[in-house]
Amino acid sequence: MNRLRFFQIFVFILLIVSIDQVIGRVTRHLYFSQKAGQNYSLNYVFTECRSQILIFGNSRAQHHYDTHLLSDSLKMSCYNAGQDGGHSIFLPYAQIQVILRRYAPEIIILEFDPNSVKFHSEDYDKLSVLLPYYSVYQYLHPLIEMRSPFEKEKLLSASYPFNSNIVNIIRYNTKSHAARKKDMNGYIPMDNRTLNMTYLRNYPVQTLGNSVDPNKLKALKDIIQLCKDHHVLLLIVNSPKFYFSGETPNSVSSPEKQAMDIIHQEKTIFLDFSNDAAFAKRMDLFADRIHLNLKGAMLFTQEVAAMVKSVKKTISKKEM
Amino acid sequence: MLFNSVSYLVFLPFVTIILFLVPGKFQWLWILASSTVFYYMLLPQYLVVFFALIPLNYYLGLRIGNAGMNKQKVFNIALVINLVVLALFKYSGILDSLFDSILSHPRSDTFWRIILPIGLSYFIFTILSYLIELKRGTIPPEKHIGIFAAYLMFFPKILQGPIERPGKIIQQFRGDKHFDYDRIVEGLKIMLWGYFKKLVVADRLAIYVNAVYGNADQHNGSTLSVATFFYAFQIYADFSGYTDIAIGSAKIMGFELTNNFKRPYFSTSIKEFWNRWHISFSSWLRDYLFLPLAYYFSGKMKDEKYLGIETEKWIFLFSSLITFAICGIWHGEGMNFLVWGLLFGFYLSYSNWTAGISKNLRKIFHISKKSAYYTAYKIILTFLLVCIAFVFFRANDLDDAFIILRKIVLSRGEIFIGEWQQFIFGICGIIILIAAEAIQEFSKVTLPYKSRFWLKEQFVYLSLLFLIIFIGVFDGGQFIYFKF
Repeated sequence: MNRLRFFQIFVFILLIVSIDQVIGRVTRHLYFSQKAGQNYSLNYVFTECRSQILIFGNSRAQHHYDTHLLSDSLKMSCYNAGQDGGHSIFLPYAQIQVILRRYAPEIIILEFDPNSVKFHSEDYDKLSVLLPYYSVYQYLHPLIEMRSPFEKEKLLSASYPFNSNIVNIIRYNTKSHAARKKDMNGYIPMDNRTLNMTYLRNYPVQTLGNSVDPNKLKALKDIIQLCKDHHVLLLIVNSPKFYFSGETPNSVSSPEKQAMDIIHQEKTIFLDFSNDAAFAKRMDLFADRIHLNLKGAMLFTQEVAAMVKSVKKTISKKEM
Repeated sequence: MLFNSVSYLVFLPFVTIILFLVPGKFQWLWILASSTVFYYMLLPQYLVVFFALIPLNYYLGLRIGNAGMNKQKVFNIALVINLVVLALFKYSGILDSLFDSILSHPRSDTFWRIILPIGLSYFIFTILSYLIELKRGTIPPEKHIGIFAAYLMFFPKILQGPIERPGKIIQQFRGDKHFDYDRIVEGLKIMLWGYFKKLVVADRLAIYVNAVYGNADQHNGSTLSVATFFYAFQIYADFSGYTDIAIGSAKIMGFELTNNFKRPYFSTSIKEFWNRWHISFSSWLRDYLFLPLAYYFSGKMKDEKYLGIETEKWIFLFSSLITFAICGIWHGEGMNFLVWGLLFGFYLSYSNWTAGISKNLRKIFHISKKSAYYTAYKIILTFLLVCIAFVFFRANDLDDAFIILRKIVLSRGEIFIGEWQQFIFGICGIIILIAAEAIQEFSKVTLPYKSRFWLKEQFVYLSLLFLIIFIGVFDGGQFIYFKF
């Protein structure tokens, strides 16, 4: 191979690295400049939020906990850090690690279904939401690197963390602040649609596999320990699901039992509304099988607020 | 390991470097060893099947080559053995159901519940191609079992083809492979284009298509039309992307594989479509199934008209329908695959039967076959016919396919977008793919793209690379045609 070839290879590699760095830096700047959307919310939770009550979880967290109702009822500031997109416990695990290094909220409500500790490969794909933070938070590396083999090597690229995100990054850089205010401190209410029999016939109760994901169990355990270490009152809540007459929830699976064992062993408060009589068979309170509609979320938030008051009272009495 | 895994990007250069260092007469051994490792990392338990078939067919091939008068008998035995092995793995589900119905109760054992080893179909088609060419006397039997094994197991093509004809490729395993900068760069460029098609186009469109086709009864005809359109590009990008990665990988190592796709969506007829789509398979069907069938029927039928139609047209009809029925059945055991195949047989026969009428109509209306408008009309019509067939290919079963088609025709409404970002990426991928192929089709530009200006050429490939990094789906899973 002659000198020209070597020079061409060198220039090509240099071009790859340079373009990658330029695109990566520009996109990074745009990413952290977003004014609305899920990425903005995640960044806000990581860097600015100092609310007294924080709610974590997936779309069930985001759509079920009315922050204004909770604030009014408990006289405390509240932010809903729930994220749409079917995330597993991995995202709250990352969020809580970052938050508690910055400040300690008084109460953390973790929306968590014990059944979700089953293994599901898509949950690792969804760690992509944390990729932009890989270079920011070293202690998140073990979690983010679980996404795939060679993830660490892929993250040598400055552009890769923003994979599949560029349209939203641009879009939410152009939306005005007004759009952000509408999300009500992270809470995004579902509309008022209700369930119907056609939908229920087409979408029966789903059962996933039966193997536990040890990484998820570890995440749960670490969350509980972190809250204890920082003297944060942690309430784990499993919000309502819909079951109509004739349907019963699936029997307790082994992974679910293992998650419950951790919660009980760590003496953590667990509020299980998943089959609560006040909600389970009320088609008018649900938008789909697992998401409450606006009316349902209001009722549920009131229940949670009452529970939180009761727990706080009990704790105060014990301390006295 | 899959082509679209990072492990493959480590595996390929390692194998290539060692290949160039190994002396020429032992290179087949390294190819065989690395191909075995490649497959072992995917489905180790099925290597036994491949390594049982290799010596068996090697021996049968020698017997066919030297059999003289008994050539046909040996060939028949070889054909039956290979087809039985293929049928056993491919249609174990049907056998399972059959056993259950005979025994009147479902069994719990898993004897018949066998997973089709990935690549077995292509492996056996390659063997059949070898045996048929031997019988026809167009090639001599391969006497070196190592080279024979390397030819069958060659990892760039084992999983999903191309189905290489023995005359073209076996000798390549004898040649001395060495480093060639230009050839390696060309191979890398072809691979890059293949990765673009797979990661940016196919896997991106798959997200939307799976969401819609997975809940077809919840969506209206407009959405199903969009999903079908997307699926046509998804399956093309997935399969041709794989082929490009295979061809590029082989080229890097010094092997030339058959180009399996030639811009099929620019075809102006179904016949042309099948000359441009999965070329190695369609030519395999033509040479080993369609033509022998046509020859057989022409021997059986008198040279006269039946129901006022010439014999040749009937021969074409029967041969097409049988060939494409078998093609459909090969793709899957569901009735929808059979209908998919028969539909193409029907399309081809209709075109064959009405060729004269079409010509007369063009004369009457003074439409030139070379006119741009006529060409555009034919391209669009062919694409639409292919999309209709793909509904049967993609649907879960025959009932679903008919429901979807009925909705496409009768039901309209707002198009489901899902996540805007995914939708936009999908559309962008299709536009880039069509643009690149249109340039190739209607100009002298060929892939891989070359320019007099080196920097301009590099920017084209850098753009592809960054499109892959920015909007590629990295965990999209395996290729569609693996399951066949």
